[in-house]
Amino acid sequence: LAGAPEPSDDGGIRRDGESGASEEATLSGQATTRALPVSLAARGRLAVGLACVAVAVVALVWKAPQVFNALNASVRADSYVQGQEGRSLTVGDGLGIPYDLQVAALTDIPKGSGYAVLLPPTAQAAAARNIPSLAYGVVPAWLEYLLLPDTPAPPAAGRYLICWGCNTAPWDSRTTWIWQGQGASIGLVRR
Amino acid sequence: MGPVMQGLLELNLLFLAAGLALLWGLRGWQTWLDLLETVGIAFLLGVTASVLLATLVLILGGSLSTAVVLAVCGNVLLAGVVLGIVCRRPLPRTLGELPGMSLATIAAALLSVVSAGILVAFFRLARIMPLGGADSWQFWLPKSRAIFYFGGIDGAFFKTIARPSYPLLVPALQAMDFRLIGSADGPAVAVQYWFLLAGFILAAAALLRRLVPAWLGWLFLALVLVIPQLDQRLLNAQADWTLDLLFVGSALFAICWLRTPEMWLLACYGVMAAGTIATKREGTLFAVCLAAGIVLATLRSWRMWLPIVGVTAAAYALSIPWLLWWTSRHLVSDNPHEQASGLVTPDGHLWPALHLALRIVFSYDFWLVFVPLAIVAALAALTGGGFGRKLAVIYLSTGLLLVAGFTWILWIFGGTLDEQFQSTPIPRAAGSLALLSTVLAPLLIAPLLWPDRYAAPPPAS
Repeated sequence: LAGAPEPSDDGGIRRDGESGASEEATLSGQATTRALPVSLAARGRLAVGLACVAVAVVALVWKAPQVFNALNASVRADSYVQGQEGRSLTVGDGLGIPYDLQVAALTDIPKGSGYAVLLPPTAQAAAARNIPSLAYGVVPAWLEYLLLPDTPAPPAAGRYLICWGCNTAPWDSRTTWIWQGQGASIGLVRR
Repeated sequence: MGPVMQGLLELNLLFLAAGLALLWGLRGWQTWLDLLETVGIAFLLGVTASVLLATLVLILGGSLSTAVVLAVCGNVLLAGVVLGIVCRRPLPRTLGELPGMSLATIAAALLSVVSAGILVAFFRLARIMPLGGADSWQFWLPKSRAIFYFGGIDGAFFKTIARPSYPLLVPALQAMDFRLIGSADGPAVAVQYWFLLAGFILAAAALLRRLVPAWLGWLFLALVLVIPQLDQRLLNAQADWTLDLLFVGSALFAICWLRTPEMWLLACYGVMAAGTIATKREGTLFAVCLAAGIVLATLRSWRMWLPIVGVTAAAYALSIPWLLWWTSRHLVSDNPHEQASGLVTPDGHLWPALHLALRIVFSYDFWLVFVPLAIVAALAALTGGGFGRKLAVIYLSTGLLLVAGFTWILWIFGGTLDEQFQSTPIPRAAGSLALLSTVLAPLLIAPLLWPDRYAAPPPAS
């Protein structure tokens, strides 16, 4: 046990007002005792403690450079994303929602408007119109986040329509389509 | 510095100022070095107390305008100053004594430099990374953006957002960020999460240093920063790691209070516990598990467990206004027992649920080896005596209760459990136990290395 770590000048129990640097005291207020554990159980506990510290040191030496490098690699990978909008739009893009549709919705729908999202009625119909199943499931929620303070509304009440793969025919007579592209349209409904 | 960073920096400096005042009111400082060491504690205290107050403002129908944000932080600051004057708290007058040069000091310094290096890398990523995590844009950020744009939570839109009954702390914090930034820049809040992590690491270092050598504390705090799930999810605009940081912060304050019963530690425990409960619905479960673990470890001393139970109950009481708000508006509950048929489901999923919960808790890919390591240290400490044994009982009983809680959640959710390894909230919830294990590990190991030091009973307060 000669190699057992002894309480040193940087640890121990401290209370308020103590510097923690030199005046080490046990909680009983006595000077630190240096008696080494002698029983078998105490030796076992010491061995377990040392083993835990060894595992922790190995884990840190092994993992810290990996994490540091991974974080820096992520910085390099994400450095292409520019600006506040870009950092959001790239996520929508990753979900399969056309980048241009997102930009147009942000640009062409005035802040504070009500809008309705029109999609094909089923996932199969959406797939037939090249809408990824993931995007089909999340596009209303994504646009709700992206377009705030615009708020979603039922089709009958929305001032603007965001149509992605929908049938525009029922709306053509009373809608001015202000943006079209990538199988999607944004329209202003005349009410 | 752009307006985004400037706004975030200003808000977090406000939190720090509020926290410093509150900490002065609760305990004061003898030296400047003492103050410097507790900066992390002050920040964590300031951000939690201020945002808790902000949630109450929202519930009472208020908005989070710039003036309100300043008033909220100012009120916390004022409360601390008044408390400090009334209680005649000391202000630092001398520098204090610098640690002497030794191998242990050098090791502690090296480990803190490693931690700082990883934190810097985190910060660089937080400044530019795209929005992460589906929950962030499905409901956390829509809520905070709604608060920012519509002036509060009483508008019709807020009630239509997914998870309407989730607690308000994170949306309130994000809305305060947006207000100081000047725009509802969702991805920018990643930097706020970085501030929380950095504050937690500094606070935990100061608290651990009260009980264990600095190098041992910093060793495990550096390891916190390499937990794979923390690296993957911390900067997402969600509430999981915020919850875990507050929960483990509350555990550290409670344990320090058990060792050196100073009232400011108990008060800080109360603030952290209230923050835990106000962050996510799991927070109540975590707080109860921790309080129950402490009660089990201190059953023979009501002077220990009764204040913990009382403060935990008071912390829970702070969540009652929110409970009244959303129930009075007939919003949908997200609590699992209200989604399923009742507390007990007859589908026989109990053992698969337990198996899955254990698999997640012990997952090397998620948390490395820190849960088993802490368990081994705790079991060894259990065979000893003194404070080490008490700590082991707290850790093991809290851990067991948490696993039981995870199992219960999975059990109630039902479904095909094998397919829920990624989709249930449990992998995220288990971060609480992983972080608790990593941060408490030095406290569990120290009594094994220096048994004489931890054998003494706590002093009379």
